Order: sequence, then C-alpha cells, then structure tokens
Amino acid sequence: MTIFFLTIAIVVLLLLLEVPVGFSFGLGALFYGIQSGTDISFHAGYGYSQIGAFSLLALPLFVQAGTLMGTGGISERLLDFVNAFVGRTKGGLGAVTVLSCAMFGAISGSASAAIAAIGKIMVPRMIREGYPEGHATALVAVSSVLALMIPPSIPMIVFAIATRQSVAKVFLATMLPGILLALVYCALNFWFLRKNTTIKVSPKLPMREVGSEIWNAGKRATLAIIMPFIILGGIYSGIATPTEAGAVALVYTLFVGFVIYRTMTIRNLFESSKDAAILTGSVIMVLFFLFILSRGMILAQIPNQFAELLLSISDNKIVLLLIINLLLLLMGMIVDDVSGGVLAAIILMPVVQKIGIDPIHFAAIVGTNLGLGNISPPCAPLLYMAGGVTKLSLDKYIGPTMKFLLLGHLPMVFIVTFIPELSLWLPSLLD
Amino acid sequence: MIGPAYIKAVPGDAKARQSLFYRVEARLAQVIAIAMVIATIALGLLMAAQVVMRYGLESPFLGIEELAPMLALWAYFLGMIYATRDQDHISGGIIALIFKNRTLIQAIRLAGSVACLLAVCVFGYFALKFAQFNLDLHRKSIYMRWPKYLWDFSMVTGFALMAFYYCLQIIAEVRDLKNGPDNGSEQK
Amino acid sequence: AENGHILAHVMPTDHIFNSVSEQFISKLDELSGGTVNIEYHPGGDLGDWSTITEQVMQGALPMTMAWSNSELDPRLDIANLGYVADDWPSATKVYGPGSQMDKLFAEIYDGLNVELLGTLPTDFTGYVVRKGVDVPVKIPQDAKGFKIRVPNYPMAIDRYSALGFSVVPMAFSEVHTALQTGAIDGRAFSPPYEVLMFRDVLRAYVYTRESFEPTFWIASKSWLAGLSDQERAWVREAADYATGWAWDNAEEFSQGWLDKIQAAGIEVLEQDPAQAAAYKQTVMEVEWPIMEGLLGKEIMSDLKQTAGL
Ligand code: NA
Ligand code: NA
Repeated sequence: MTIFFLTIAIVVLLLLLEVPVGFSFGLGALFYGIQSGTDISFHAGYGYSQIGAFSLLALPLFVQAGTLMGTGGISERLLDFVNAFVGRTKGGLGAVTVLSCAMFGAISGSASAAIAAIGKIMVPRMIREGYPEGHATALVAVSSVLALMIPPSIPMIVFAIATRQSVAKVFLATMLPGILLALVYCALNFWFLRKNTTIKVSPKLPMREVGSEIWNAGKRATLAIIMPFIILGGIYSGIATPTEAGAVALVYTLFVGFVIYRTMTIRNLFESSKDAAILTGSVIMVLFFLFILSRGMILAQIPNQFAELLLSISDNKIVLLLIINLLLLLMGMIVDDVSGGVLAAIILMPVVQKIGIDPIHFAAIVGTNLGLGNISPPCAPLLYMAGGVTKLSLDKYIGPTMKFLLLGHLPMVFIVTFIPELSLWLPSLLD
Repeated sequence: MIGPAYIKAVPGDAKARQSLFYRVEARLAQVIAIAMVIATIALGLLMAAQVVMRYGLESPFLGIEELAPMLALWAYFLGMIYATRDQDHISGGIIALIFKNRTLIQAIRLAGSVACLLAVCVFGYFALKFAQFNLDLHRKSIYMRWPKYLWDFSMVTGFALMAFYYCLQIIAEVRDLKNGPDNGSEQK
Repeated sequence: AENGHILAHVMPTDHIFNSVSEQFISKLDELSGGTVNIEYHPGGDLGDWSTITEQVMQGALPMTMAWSNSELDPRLDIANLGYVADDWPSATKVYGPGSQMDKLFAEIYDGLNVELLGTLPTDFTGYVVRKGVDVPVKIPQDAKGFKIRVPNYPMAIDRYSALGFSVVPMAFSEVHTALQTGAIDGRAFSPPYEVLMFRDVLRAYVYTRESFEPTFWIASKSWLAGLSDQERAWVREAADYATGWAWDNAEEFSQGWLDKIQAAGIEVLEQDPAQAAAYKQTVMEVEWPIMEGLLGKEIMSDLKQTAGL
C-alpha cells in the first residue's frame, strides 16, 4: 500500500508539472513495477490488448462524427433551431448555448466537440450581443459537459468496458441527470443576468412570426434534429449496437455534409478528420497507460486492499458514498473524464459492490462527478478549451465558472448520489 | 493557454523548414495524417456497411472482428505520433500558475520531455518484444489468417516515431533554453 | 522481477474453474505444508482470457484456465469440433485425463511455451434465444432470418450457415447489449453456465449438445522452471488431483446450471431424436472434412474410433 500511495503521489506530481496525462501514468506504472518487484515485461502487450477491444471502437467513431458535425453544418442548424425558441428573451442566447450543448450531446459523445461546434459560434455571438465575456465563456465550459452526460458518451463507453456493464444501460444512467442539469443551467443563466444592463435583446416578434421562424429553422435543421433518433433510436431498437451506432453517426454526417448540405469538401473533411484522429490518439494514449498502471495495481491486489481500507473507516453507506464522491471529485480534478472513469471503475468498484450499490447507479455517480472534474483545475481540458475559443485568460472566467459549478453541478452530484431512482429508472426500462 | 507558449518539436518558421531534414519530416507528417484519416473513415464505412448487410444481405463481412480493430489500432497510434509532434497530448499542470520565472518553466518542461522520451523508449522496447513474440509464433488472425504483425506493428511504429519526435522536441527545447528569455518564443 | 505464484482466469467464483482452483490451492497447500501459496485472481481482473493466455505464454503470469485459441495453432480448432462426444461418459473417454485428445492438446501447448496441467471439462453447448422471438425448433426451416451470434472462427461460421441461420459475427463484449436491444436473436456455442450470464434477456435455451467444450489449464514453462523439483512435483500432483476432481464432478455442475436456468424462468429445450439426427448430420458433413484437412486422416480416424463413430 505504501508503494501504491507513493506511486499516486508521483503521478500527481508529474501531472502538475505538465507531463502529458498518459506518460504520467506510464512513468507511474514503471516506478510501481520496479518498486514492488512485479514483472513489467508484459505492460505494453497488456495495454495494447486493452485498447484493441472491439467495444472501444465507438470512441474514434463518435469523436470523428462529432468533429465533422461542425464542418458539415449540422451543429449550426441545430443552433438556429434552438435560437428560434428562446433567442428573443434577455439571457436567451445563454439558454440557447446550454440547450444546444444538450442537443448536440444527444448526437455526439465528446464534450470537446461540443465546445468546438457550439462554443465557436455562440461565444462570439453572445459577446457581440453584450454578454459579459466571462459569463459567456463559463457557460460554454460548464454546458459542454452535458454532451458527456446525455448519451452517446465516450467516458461512459469506457466505464462500461472497464466494469463490464451493458453500454446501453450505462448510457441511460446519466441521461435524466443531464437533462435536469441543462434546465438548472438555463435557470442559473437567467438568474445571473437578471440585473445585467449591457445585453441587447432582439425585439419580440408577434406570435405568428415566432411560429414561422421556428418552422423555417426547423425545416432547415430537420436532418440534424432527426439525428438523435437515428443514433439513440438505432441503439435502443436493436438496429445497431452502441459501437456500430458510432459508425452510423459518422456515415450519416458524411452523407448530410457531402450530399445534402454540400458544405463538406475533401479538404475540410481531411482537416477536421485529422483533428479528430489526433484527439482520439491522445485519449487512447491515456487509456493505454492507465490500463497498464491498473494491471500493476491489480497484480498487487490494491483495489481490494483499498476497499478494505475504506470499509474500515466506516460501514455506513451514506458516509461511504460521501467519501466516494470526495475521491471522485479529487480524481476529476487531477485527471480527465476518460481516465477518471477507468480509475473509478478499477479502484472504487470493489467498495461499491461491497456496500451494495447498483453498478448502473455507480455509473451515474461517476459520470456526473467526472463531468464536474473535467472543468475543475488543474487538469481541466474543457475549461481551458473554452478559454481557447474565446481567447480569454483563465482568471477572467474562472469566477463565473465556479458559480455555475457550485450552484448547478455540485448539487446535482448529491441528487444523483442520494436519489438512485433518477439514474436507474431509464435503464430499468430495458429489462 | 497559460504561461510561455510551448516549443514545438517541428519549428514553425518557414526558413527553418526549408532544410532537407524538415522537408522530409513534412512528407512523413503528411503520410501519417493521410493514413490516420483514411483508417478512421474506412473504419466508419466498414462498420456502417456491416449494419446494412446484417439486414439487407445474407452474408455479412465476417472478418470485421479482425479488420476493424486493425484499422483502429493504426489510427490510434498514428494519432499519438501526431499529438506528440504537435504537442497535443492531454495534459494538466499548474506550473505556469505557480512559477513566474520563464527559464524555470522552460527547464521543467524540458525535464518533462526527457521523462516522456524515457517512457516511450521503455514501453517501445516492450512493444517490440511483444511484436517479436507473435512474429516468432507465426501467429495469424483466426478468420482471415492474416499475419498478426499487421496489427502489432502499429504499436511498434507508434513508439518508434514518438521517440523520434520527442528527440526533436528535446533538441528544440534545449535550443530555446540556451537562447535565453529574450530570444525565445513569444509570450501568449 | 518475478510475480508471485499467480493463477488467473476470467470466470466468476461460481464457475467450475473456481471450484477446480480451490481444490488445487488446498491440495497444494496440504502437499507443500503451506510453503507454496497461490495468489488467486478469478473474474478476469488481469485481462480477457486470450490476453491472460498470452501473458502465460510469455512468462508474465504463471497459470491460467482458458479456451482454445486457434490464432496460436490452427489445430486447436479441434476443441470446437461438433459431435465428438454426446454424453458425459463419452466426453470423459475422448477428452478426459490420459485420453488421445488430452495427449494431442499437451503436444500442441508444449509447442506454445506452456505446459498443459490438465484438460478441463466445462460442458456441452447449445444456443440461447432472446425474449420476444420464436424459438427455432425445426432446422433449417425455422432458422431462416434468425440472427445468431457465433464466435469468430471459420468452422463456427460454416456450421451455422449450413444450419440455415443468419450468422452474425460480433465481439463477445457486445453480445449482452445486442441481445437486449435485438441486434441479434441468439447466441450459439453457449454452455449452460454462460446462459445465466445473459439471464435477464433470454427466453429459451436449446441444449443441442452439439459440441463439447474442453478448456485448458496451462502453466508457463519459465515459471515451472523457476520452481524446485519438489515444488514442481507438488504442483503437478495437485493439478492432477484437481483435474480428476473436475471430471468427477462436471456432470453434477452441469445439471445444477440447467436447474438454475429453469428456475430463472428460461425454458430449456432438447431436440427430439429425428431433429437431433438431422442437425448432427449437417454439422458433421460441414466440419469433419475441414478438420481432416487440418490434422490429417490418421488422427481423425483415431478420433473416430475413440469417439465410437
Ligand atoms: Na453525448
Ligand atoms: Na479536472
């Protein structure tokens, strides 16, 4: 156990010193292997066999599809559609941002794709209409997480693989919490802006014109709006497995981009595909080394010892759940969502099973927590990415971000933890 | 981005890129990019075709369980190489928030790159041993009976080229450190 | 650096692998007077079964119990051959300790840098049917359009195509979700134990007994070489003991699973003699010539003799 904690300390130190997450785990695994005297010769072979898993193919496919949606004009039309509903109220554009991220989430599995697709369009628009820069940037950062909570979701795919749960069920676990969180963020957005005087609001239209605006935007966005039904409908009606659904999403995006909207060219297809492939590669590299580190820990029975350690602190389910949440929060702060999902699955699953938590409920707890972790520094790729889109430095938007997290996401973590029905109801419909 | 801009393994200015070495590198990078894009798109088309064939036709493509992971593994490792080249790896870190001394930050980043190179070399060695093991066994995939090195070399190639780019990275960072704070890349 | 004396497999603690492991561990403890301790990893925490097998072959793990993988040697496909045995006494005769097949497997694994500690019995296989679809009874008539998942090797695919099913290749990790949502209607090559892994989504199990599933308990040669002569002798003795125990108790295990399947509300069906004969003829016509091509006429006629065919 001492070597284990020392390893964790080294990994954290490397992470803090900006060593890429994957290599931090890799170096941690080497240190651990050498110190504990376990055989490290099969490390590479093990990581390789894990990332070669068939179910993981959903990851490159959903990342690729999500990136191409921006290029193919799908996300833009989705935005215009949502805008027709709430665009003409004070704070309406903020709500459009939140709801578009949620809708985008239903067709894409990655939060960074949501920032690229929605943030790049909405943040400049909000700033032009007089929104405070910090508020606009924070809003994109916090709502991008909705794309992870509303299925399909890459971290949830990885979690399901690591715990050997059904992807279809795990997907549904964070869906209601995700929708609820979207509504909470909309409300917070209006609340924070209630006294704002700088925002320009487009004049209200007569009801009839609102109707025709929605109708027209809806017509333009039809192919985007039906996409969740193709992806999620395809999965839950048995037409495609969750893995295959990633491919269907990709091919559909290519078809719409090339044949229907004709916004896609070989050149912009190549450029966005390249970005997506790089993103995929860097996520997979993290997983590769994480699986290796976990093998070392499992060889030494660390997860079981860790479970016993936690259970020796308390045998009260509520106390343990609070501890688990705290650990997930800390994990989320230092690592990204995907590695957090694997770590949680490997280290915390034995405890969770011993105290009788439904694995699907645990999936929801992990998903909600890690969404939070993704925007909490220091390792907060989504937070930095949102700032990158706006060209705003962290100190300008960290304040508004924290307000959203403390009043929106954190309470949601507790709701999900202590009201299992919220996450278990939808999956139970599959039985 | 916080703190001084990252030094890239491959120099950004046009003049440096005119040398033979960097022109060859540019070709290499192009090949990597094209290969990873083709692998991912082919993967999507293949798996979507599988869904259609399951319903429309009586004979689905039976090698998919072998071919799909092969395309994916190549895409993964080529993507990792490119992420190394462009410094696009997922990373956290707060050194720029804690330290204000530019040289210190550069030195820490250089040390980090050296540590990464070390990791790449060690794991690359084991990757090579793993590929060698399957090669000695003349291992072939079950359905298509294709030699396993078509899969395994993705990992070997990945580590070999990541090592190459980390060497370039380290050279670039050492140069930058030597140049001192005034001539380094601009603060963003 | 060396790991401890690890025995790892992917099955949960109610599988026969677990009982065999427990027999082995306690016997070894008894023989060695507590000096040789096994670190036991059930449940697949060290990877899927083919990865664990690789680790044993490379000497990174000492022992595992796993299925045959014809990537390693095409001859291992014989473990999946249909109708080599159709009841427990004949299965014991064909695959049990000291049998022709046991010797053939030992020879194959010897070439893979591992020692076969024992050929273990799992069970006969059949196919499962998900909720909400009709159970194919008359084959090939009822099989048309029934999407059945088969493992990824040519003989399995040929068998189920010949039986008239709509064959779907799919990774094992996808099977549960696919049965749940209806992407597939059933799964072939399922022993009774594995029926229960998908219990929430199944309506019926057709126990055709078309293949007997032998599994393999292997040990890394480099690990064995690192033991003292005495320790090695203990390990082999304890393994023989546990393997013998497995063959003595496998039928009882099997019946226990069939009872549990029924108790879980899944119908267990067996074919009537006429259906069974037609099914058997189709399978053998497809597979036996392929196997003869792989192993040669001599081994196959020996096998036919042992199997009483
Ligand atoms: Na999503
Ligand atoms: Na974080």
